[in-house]
Formats: sequence, C-alpha cells, structure tokens
Amino acid sequence: MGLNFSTNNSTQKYTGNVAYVHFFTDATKNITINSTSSNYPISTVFAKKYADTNLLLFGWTPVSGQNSYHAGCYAAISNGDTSSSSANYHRKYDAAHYVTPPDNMGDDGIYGTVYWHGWWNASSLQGLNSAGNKTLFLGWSSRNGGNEGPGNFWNPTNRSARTQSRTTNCQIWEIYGNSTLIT
Amino acid sequence: MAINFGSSASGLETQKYASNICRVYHFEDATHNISIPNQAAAGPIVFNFTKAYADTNIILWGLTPVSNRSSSHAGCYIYIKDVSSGNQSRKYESAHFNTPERGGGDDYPYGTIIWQGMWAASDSAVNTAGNKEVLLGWSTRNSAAEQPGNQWNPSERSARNRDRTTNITIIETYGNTTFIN
Repeated sequence: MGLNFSTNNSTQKYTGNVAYVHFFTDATKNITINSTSSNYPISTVFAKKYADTNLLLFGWTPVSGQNSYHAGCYAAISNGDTSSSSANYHRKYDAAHYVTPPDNMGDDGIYGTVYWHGWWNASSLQGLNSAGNKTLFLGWSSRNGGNEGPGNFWNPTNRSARTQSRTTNCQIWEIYGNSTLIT
Repeated sequence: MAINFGSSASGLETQKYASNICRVYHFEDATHNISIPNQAAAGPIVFNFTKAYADTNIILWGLTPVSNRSSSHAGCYIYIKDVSSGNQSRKYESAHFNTPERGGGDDYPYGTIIWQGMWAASDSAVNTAGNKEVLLGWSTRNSAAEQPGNQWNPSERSARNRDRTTNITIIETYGNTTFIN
C-alpha cells in the first residue's frame, strides 16, 4: 500500500494540491534604482503550467543604500501586459513590504529588504486563467505621484570589499483546489 | 469525485494534477545563544537531514535571529553537502543579512538573516538519497575578520526576552519545478 493511500489500496487518502513550483533567483545584479514615481526594476516570465491553478508568491529582494523610506512597492502578475489599466494585469500593493536601509547607509552599511508575499486567484482572473507565459513584476508606484527611490541598488553584489552576492529569491506555487484566500 | 481527481475514459478516477511536494523537513534549532566569532569565515549552524529520493529538487527557506550589532556585512551563505561524497554546493545568493541597526546589547534591536534557495535535482550535492548536511555561515570576500552579530538564536538575553531560534523549511519536489534566473 502506497503512502497516503487508504486501506482498500485503491483511493488516495489526501490529494496534494501544489501542482507546480517556479523558483526565481535573479541573475541580474546591482540594479540601479532611480528616483521616480513608478518603476518595475525586476520582471520575469514564467510558464504557468495549468489554466485552473491559483498562484502563491513568497520571497524577498535585498536592497542597499538608503534613499526613500517609502515608495508604494507592489508585486504584479499579468499575461505580459505592462499597463496597470489592462484587465489582464493584477497588481497587489498588499503583497509587498519595504523596509528601507537605515539613514545614511550606503553599500558597506546596513541593508534593507523588500518582502514579497501574495496570493492571486489565478484560476479565474483574466489573463492568468490560462496556461502559458505570465510575467511577474516587482516595483513601486507612489500614491501621490512623487518621485521616490526605494534604495539605491536592488540585488547588491560585491558592492564593498567584504560583501558577497545577494539577489532576489522568489517562489511561485501553482495550487489546484483545496485552497482558500481569507481576507 | 475527490478534488484534484478527474475522470478517465475507463471510468476510473485519475488524479488530475500530480502534486510535486513529496517530502517536507522543518529545522528548528534547539541550540540557542550561539556565540559568533570575529573571523573571516565560520559555520555556526550545521544540521543534517536524510533526503528521501535521489531525483528530487531541494527548496528551502527560513530565518535566523541575530542579537547585537557588530559587523554590518560578512558574506553570509548557505550550503548543502552530500555527506557520502563530500560534494558541496554553496549559495551566497540564498542569504541576506540585515544586521541589528545599532550596538548596545541584548536588549536593543535585533537583526535577521533570511535564507531562501533552490538546488536542482541534478546538483551533485543533492542528486542522491541519503544524508545531507546543511551549513549556515559566512565567508568574507576580502578575507577580513567579520562578526555578523554577537549571538545567533538569542534566547532570554534580557529580562523581557523569550526564546528565538533558526527555523528552516526544506521541501523535496519531484518534477513540475522550474528554476528561473
């Protein structure tokens, strides 16, 4: 009798529902962050395996250099559309949490982090409810349109003599059934 | 029909999508108040797990709490090593150290090292079942002595404090996994 199969040897007791895992490690380092009202310094394409799965994202981006305390960071997923007004584009400010480097910190000082964690009902959302290429955008858009720079560099690498590589690591899980978004 | 099962032409129920997480390990470090030396390289935390399958990927994530500011940087990394062969795969990019913001001691703001990485099933450190060693440490790029905090897993280091420790989740995934970079 296989693991997770019931006694009659014919039915699975509990079905697993993580159908696919995409793991993103950003190969692009030392991304310069300009002071602007809106930007997405990181975007990556992943091939959604199934049309009817939801998407769970979690991960983080290391940041060097204190600049703005806040910028209105977000994570967004679309079918490739870049316009936030597109029905195929789904942005979540609530899926981002930016913690700036402390005041006056540079490349050899204390770093900061953008934490990413969010859920998309991708089995039903337009543009996401199909298999195929989807794009993850990690960026910011200030609510008042003011120019902001959340740090000086994202994915800071070898920026002082003693430091090593750092980069963005994010997981995107495709989940089928047995899942609930609670708000 | 159960969730995640579909109908086959024969009338038998077949699983619609195979789940690809086939094993979960969770490391919660029982060793607290690990004193951190001031040196160019060290591996203060080491633990082992038994990989169940040869042909699975390894994905891990977690955090280590840190007390007391010392060095702002040290070149933190995490590695997985196959104990039998000695094959080791080190990832600096899977570690991100945020030092405590200021010195002052055990009752002041703390810092964190966050860990997240993937080792593909073909990686020589993980392409067999059996005993694997995980090490959390640092190695400075310029070989200078550094001290990323004074204590890792600080526990009850001031009157109001409680336990804190390293927690890392490791999953084995079979197929249906893509590494993007």
